[in-house]
Amino acid sequence: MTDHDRAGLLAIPEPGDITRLLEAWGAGDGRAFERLFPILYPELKRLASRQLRRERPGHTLQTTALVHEAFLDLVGQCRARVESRSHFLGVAAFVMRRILAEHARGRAALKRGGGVAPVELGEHPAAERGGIEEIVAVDQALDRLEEIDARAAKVVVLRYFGGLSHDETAKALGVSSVTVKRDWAVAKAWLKRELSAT
Amino acid sequence: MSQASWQQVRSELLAALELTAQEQRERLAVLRAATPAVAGEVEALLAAAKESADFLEAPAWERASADTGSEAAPERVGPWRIEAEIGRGGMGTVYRAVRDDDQYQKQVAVKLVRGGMDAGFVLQRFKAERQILANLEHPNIARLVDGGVTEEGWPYFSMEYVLGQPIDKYCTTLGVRERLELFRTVCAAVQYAHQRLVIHRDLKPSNILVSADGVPKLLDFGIAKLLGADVAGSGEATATVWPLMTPEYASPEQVKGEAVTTASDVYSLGMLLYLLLARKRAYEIKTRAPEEVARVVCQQQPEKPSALTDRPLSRQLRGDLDTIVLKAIRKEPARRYQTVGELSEDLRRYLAGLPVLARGDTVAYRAGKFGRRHKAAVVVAGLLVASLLGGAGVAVRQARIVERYHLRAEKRSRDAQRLANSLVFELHDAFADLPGATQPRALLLKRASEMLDTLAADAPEDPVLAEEVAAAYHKLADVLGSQAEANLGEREAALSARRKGLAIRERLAADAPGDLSRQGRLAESHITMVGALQGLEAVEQARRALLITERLLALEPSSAADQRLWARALYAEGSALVASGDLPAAKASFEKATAAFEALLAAAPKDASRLRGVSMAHKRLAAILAKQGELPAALAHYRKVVAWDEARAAESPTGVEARYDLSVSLVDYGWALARSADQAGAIEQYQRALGIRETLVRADGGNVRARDGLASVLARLGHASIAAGRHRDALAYCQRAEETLGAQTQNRDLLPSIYQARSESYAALRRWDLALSSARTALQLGSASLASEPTNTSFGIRVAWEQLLLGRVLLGLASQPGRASGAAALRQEALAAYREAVRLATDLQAAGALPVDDLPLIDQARAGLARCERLQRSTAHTAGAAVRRR
Repeated sequence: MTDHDRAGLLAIPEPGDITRLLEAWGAGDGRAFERLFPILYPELKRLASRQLRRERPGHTLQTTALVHEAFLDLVGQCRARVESRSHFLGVAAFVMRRILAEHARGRAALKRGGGVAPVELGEHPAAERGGIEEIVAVDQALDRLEEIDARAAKVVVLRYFGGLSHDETAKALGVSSVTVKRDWAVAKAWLKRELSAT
Repeated sequence: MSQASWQQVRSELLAALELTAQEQRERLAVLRAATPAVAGEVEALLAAAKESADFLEAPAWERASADTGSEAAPERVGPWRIEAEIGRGGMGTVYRAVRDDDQYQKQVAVKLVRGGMDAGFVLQRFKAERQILANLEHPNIARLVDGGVTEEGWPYFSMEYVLGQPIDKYCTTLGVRERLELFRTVCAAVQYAHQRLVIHRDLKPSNILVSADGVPKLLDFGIAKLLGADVAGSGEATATVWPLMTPEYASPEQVKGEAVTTASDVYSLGMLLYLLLARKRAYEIKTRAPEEVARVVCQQQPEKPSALTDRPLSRQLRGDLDTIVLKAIRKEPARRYQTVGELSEDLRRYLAGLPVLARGDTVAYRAGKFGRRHKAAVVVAGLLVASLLGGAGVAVRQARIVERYHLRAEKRSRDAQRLANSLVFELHDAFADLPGATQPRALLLKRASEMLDTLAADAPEDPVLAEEVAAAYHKLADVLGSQAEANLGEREAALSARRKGLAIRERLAADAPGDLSRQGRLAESHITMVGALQGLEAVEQARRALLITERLLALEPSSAADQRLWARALYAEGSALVASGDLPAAKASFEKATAAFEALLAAAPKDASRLRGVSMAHKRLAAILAKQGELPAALAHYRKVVAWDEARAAESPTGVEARYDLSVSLVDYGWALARSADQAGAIEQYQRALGIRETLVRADGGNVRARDGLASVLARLGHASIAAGRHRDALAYCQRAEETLGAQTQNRDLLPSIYQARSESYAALRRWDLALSSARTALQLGSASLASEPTNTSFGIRVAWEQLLLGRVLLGLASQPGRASGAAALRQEALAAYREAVRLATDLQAAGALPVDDLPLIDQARAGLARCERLQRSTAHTAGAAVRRR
């Protein structure tokens, strides 16, 4: 993560660059994503950490609100076209997956500390399990889903890690809303089975 | 799985998701015939899909931020070194920790509120939990070890670290009887908490750990609640706490946000018992959606535990255990076991082979139970029952008549109750502060009292009625004879009424130890008893009130009503201690009481009753300071007291109480001035008090307290005039005082005091005969008072002063010219009086009951004694010389 920080610090991006990269990614340029990721990562990480530090139960900031704040910081309101924002949400979802998985792994390790079973767990294997454990498990299972159904895995990244709605997901992926719905149903069932099996 | 087969699985799955369950089964059957591997995968995914309605619907980010706290665990908290996190909830994080200094290896669980959480609510709950734990000491409840604040300023506490298994896991190796025994141990812990006014509200297997040696421990009072606290603001508190509970064990009233009582814990325990016996939950709640949770918890009727189990277990559960479990988890709180103790008792009965109470007393049931215990006897009994059946019809008819009669009687008793209450509460209160109303009020209360005795004799089962009777007794006692309100001096009748009220409230409080308001009312009764009793009995009553109020306050520190009750209990304790002569302890009580009342007044600076409380407590404190010789401090208190009382009297110009209180303060202020040798100042304050009291007596001549008060201020003016050297004034005041004092006087201190003053005045005026008869009367009256209350040290002090006075007057008389004949006898009597004064005073001093102010008593008595002996020696010498001369 220090590498990303350094990248963020050294190569402070121009808003125009980001817009261009977002458009390129929207047009299917895979390399654009590779360049966008290190730009978005430090910004989203900063915002997320700040938020997590002062989190209050019942006052959770929505994922999209968080991402939108990053978007405003990086791109700015006036210069951005509507598509750019939608693309930004798409890229940000992948960034958020990385940030949240890292965060969750750290927290889960802390929870397991000393090898004592957490008092709160054990009653409801999957459903009641803390959000943290679920995030780690979903992140790991998602790697396997990608191998057999890449688009369904993307839908999960956008919906679950990116906090996007069905329609936003459809727009970001350039597919129909029905497709997203079907992918989502399949992916949920598949992941549920994967998580229950472990 | 290959891409190709996944595509097939995927499309089969999507197709199946659109079908009904029956259609799904048919389609899967077809598929299984063709490609069994795909069919198996689809079937598994379909099952998973059914359970994934909520799955992943909350974005990961929201889940992560709901998982409270994101910083690393602290290294140390207070004296504890953190080893590992062992739990985390909405209220804080729990760590396993050891003593940082490793002085002794002791593991604890440290619970910590972490930065960033919603401070107000969480901190409040956290502190409540710490306080609740501090009040619970039970072998089956994880103990509080210590508590404090971290370097960052967050509160923490440490608890006994319990290494064990959740009770349901532990029970898997136990038989039914062993499970029941273990469960009953848990019941005892919960019942203990209930007796300390605590409802756990989150009883579930993971909160009850059983150690390797089989000892269950109750954990996590994080959402526990003080009983009765729901009464005010129930909706808010319950709604806030609800999402923190575990729905499988939450009672319908908890889910609906209604008042939570001990019966809610009974329900959770019932659900636990269900799980322990049937090894399955009464029902599974698959979702956390509130509507669904509410539907299942409030409407779905659970199966009998035996119905969910296979033989042979189901045979063991069928019957009593089914009945007991189902009674504990009834949807309506009123139809459950009313206490955990009842539930536990029924299980004990089951284990002992006795009939359980959960089932009604049906003949068939009882006979069946009886039969199992006494198989042979039951055959004979069966024959007897059969022979008696012929008369059954008659019995049924008679039972109906009796029932009708009972209903009528109950209605009549309610009518009488209502009338008595109307008399006592409505009419009496209407009269209460009206000058001149003492006589009609007493008549009213006498009638009400007769009615109450009739009602109380029927011992109303209904706690509301019982409390009304108790309250009415207290009201009656107030008017009959308490020191706090106008009265007719019938002390004994008042005390008796008060004892009756107290007895009822003791019973009510014992019946429902968790009912907070009943506890509060019991404390109230104890406080009022203090004024009606003397000595250690009074101290004992005050201490009981304190014990209750401190417990109430510990649980609800912000309750103004409890704070006030506590302040009053402290005040009562101080008063009782003063009466028993323990001034240092009394001072400590009143210091606490003044602080408590001041805090109350600060919250409502114009509140008349708080003004009164603060003024009274300061007044008592000042009196002690003055008695201990700290006069400047006492005077400072008195000036404040007078100012507060003047403010209150100005607020209610017709109020008797405010004016009477002001007059008392003026008298006390004057008394302290007199002690400071400011006789002119004393007389001035006394005269202001005199003016007020004369007005009060004119307004309500039948009021004994008003008359006593007037006489008292006149007597004080007498004493102050003596000190100022105005002996004729003193005699005039004494005369008026004695005339004012009615035959019904309650102030047994007053008449001897008047005679004492009179004797001193006559002595100063050299009217020795009159001085002697007054001194003798004073001693006689004082001794009578002391005989009636031997532990009242202020009576003892008075008698010592009276003996001293008598001695002085006797010596004075003996030294009169022309008294030579009787002088020796007078001197002999004086010697005896001085000896008695010395004995009393030294005894009092040895007992620590002689205030600084009265210390001169000893020196004066010894000096008098010495003078007597000197005189006797010299007269003996003179007499001897005379004999020799003769």
